[in-house]
Amino acid sequence: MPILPGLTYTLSSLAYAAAIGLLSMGLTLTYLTTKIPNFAHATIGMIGSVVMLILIDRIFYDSNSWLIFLLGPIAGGAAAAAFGVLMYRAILKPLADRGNSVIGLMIATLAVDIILLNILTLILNLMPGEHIPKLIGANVVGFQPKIRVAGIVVDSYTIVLPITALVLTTLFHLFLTRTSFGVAMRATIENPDLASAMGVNVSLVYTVSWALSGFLAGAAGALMAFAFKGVDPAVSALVIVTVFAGSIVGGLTSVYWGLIGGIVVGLAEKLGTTIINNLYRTLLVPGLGLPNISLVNYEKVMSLGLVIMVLLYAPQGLAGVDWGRILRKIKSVKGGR
Amino acid sequence: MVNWWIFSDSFLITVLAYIVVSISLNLEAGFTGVPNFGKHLFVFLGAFAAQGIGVRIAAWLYQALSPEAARQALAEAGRLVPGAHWASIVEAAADTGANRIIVNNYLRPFVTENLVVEVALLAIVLGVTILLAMVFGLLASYAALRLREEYLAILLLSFSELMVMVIFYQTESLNGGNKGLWAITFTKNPIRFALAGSAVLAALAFLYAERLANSPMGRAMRAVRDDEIAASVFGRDIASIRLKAIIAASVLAALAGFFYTQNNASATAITFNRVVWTFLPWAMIILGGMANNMGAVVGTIVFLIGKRLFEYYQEPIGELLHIQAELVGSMLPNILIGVLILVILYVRPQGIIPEHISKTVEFNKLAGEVLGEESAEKDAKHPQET
Repeated sequence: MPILPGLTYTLSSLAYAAAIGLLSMGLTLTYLTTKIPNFAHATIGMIGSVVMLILIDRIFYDSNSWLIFLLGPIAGGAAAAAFGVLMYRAILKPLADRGNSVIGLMIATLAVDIILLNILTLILNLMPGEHIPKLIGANVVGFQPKIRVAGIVVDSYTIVLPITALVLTTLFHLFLTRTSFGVAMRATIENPDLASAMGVNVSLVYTVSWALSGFLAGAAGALMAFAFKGVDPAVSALVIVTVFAGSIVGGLTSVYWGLIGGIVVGLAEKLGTTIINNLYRTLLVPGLGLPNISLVNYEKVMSLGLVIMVLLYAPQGLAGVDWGRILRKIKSVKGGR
Repeated sequence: MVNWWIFSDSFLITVLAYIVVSISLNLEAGFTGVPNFGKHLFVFLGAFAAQGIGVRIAAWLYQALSPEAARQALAEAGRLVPGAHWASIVEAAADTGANRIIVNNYLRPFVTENLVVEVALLAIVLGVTILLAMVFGLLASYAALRLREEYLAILLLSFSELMVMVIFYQTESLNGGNKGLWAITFTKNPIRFALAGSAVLAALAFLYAERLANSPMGRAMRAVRDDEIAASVFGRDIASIRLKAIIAASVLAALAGFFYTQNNASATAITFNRVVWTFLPWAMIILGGMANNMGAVVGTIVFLIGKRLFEYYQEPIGELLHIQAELVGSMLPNILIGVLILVILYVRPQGIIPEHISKTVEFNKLAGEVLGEESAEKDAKHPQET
């Protein structure tokens, strides 16, 4: 058994990591602005998957059109952004204004999670499919354009998802640095009172942050529809664990580190677990007589392990690590030689 | 017109189990400010002690005390191979293929016929339940005890979700995985035993929680909840207070899970999911009133009766709304419970019974005692003046 995973698996791991990165980025954004850890974030991402599934069923059923990778994320992201705004304006803001504590707001996001999850499941159950007979649990892997990398046919979403993540992050960065509203958002994250005194509409900034966070989640979710063996909103119950892991590894203090944390956790979960599993099964099982079980099923242990390590040894996450010092140390070691 | 048969033994046991879980959650979330979003793991640990672990211990005892009968049990389960030793029945008892026959036909009669064995096994299983709850309580929270409550919430949710949905659900050799296992039950009438046990447990849990809430420890817990910094300035160790609350609450929840499993006689990890054993208890304490033990009890009873009535009338309600009942399943109730939580948080965040200030010694009495002592001292110092 080879230790390193094959090309298709590596590509799908990269795509997964990019999707988790986008989700962790959005989660960190709303946490930074409104100080609410959103337990419904993964399910908001599932809105994108559901929209993508419906789009395929109604429009893109004859497959092989690259347009799906443009329209799907935009439509899914827009729907999720709309839900994010609704969730913040209609539920969380009124609750916060009524004086609910962080615990109250967290349980409110859990309540929203359950409501949304069941509504999405109901929609997929009740909506009659036009070209896909049963929408709930439908496998849409076959509906994507074919593409060859190094002579092997690979799932095209695995190429598109990392590119989408790159594009969305660049756009987001330009928005934060080149537009006055983006600057206002950064100011609000730094100091909401001062920003408000300087004439920034803080409430609007918060609402926009929920919209952006929802869009990132929905776009990632739309493309991830191709990754599931069957589209079922219930997977969000475990995805949220990975998304939070990414945000915590990133440090919950910077949106970009949230993205990096998500990518790190996603890669650790997929590639890391597979490599460990291959090592275990080629070396330890015959060598020490350990039980011949597949460790791949336990990939979530990886993300929880990372979270615990980060919380214990670097609660500020990757963002809090003094990278300059580490670089200097490496340089000095090299210089010494 | 209510059909009272819906309020059956098993409903009563469910109510009592939820009362204990709500009281324990209230100790964490209401009094100490620990948002435990992973309650389902701790309830499942009690079930695991009765199935995965209890069955193995019972099988080991069976093999040790009556090896001949154990051979027969293995033979009936189709697991008798040449050279079978004690490990094979322990293994077979917790194996999904042989578990039903060995537990139902051999281990349960063996346990209930011999009082000494029964009491000893019950003591061991309860001990295991308590130990498991303490260890997992520590593991699930340790890394975030010193951090803000959001981190605690995330860690507890992630840890419990991972343990229940990944480890216990996927590892068939541990507890039957997604097929579940028949559990070891006690006394000839396990339902009666579950009812009595959970009633006693609920009463003890309530008394314990009331005593704790009105003790100096209870006031320290509230201080940690309201202002961590102030509490630590006054010399309170936040991490240790939180850990104590989590461990006490986890033990209570696991015991509740143990008695609940006695009624069902079997358990599967997937049935102890986040909605059923974390979200519902949260809904109950929010409905009843956080940081108030009576509120937790009242909230649980009101909630479960309401839920039961809704389930009973679900079909007519479904017809009224023109939705097929079998598709709606548990989805409509779950949506309604979510909406209920949001409405309570908005309309009456303090719940049915609001938090009241903790009972302390009456001021006059306290003042009287202190002044009395002082005046007595004065009298002792200057006897000649009077």
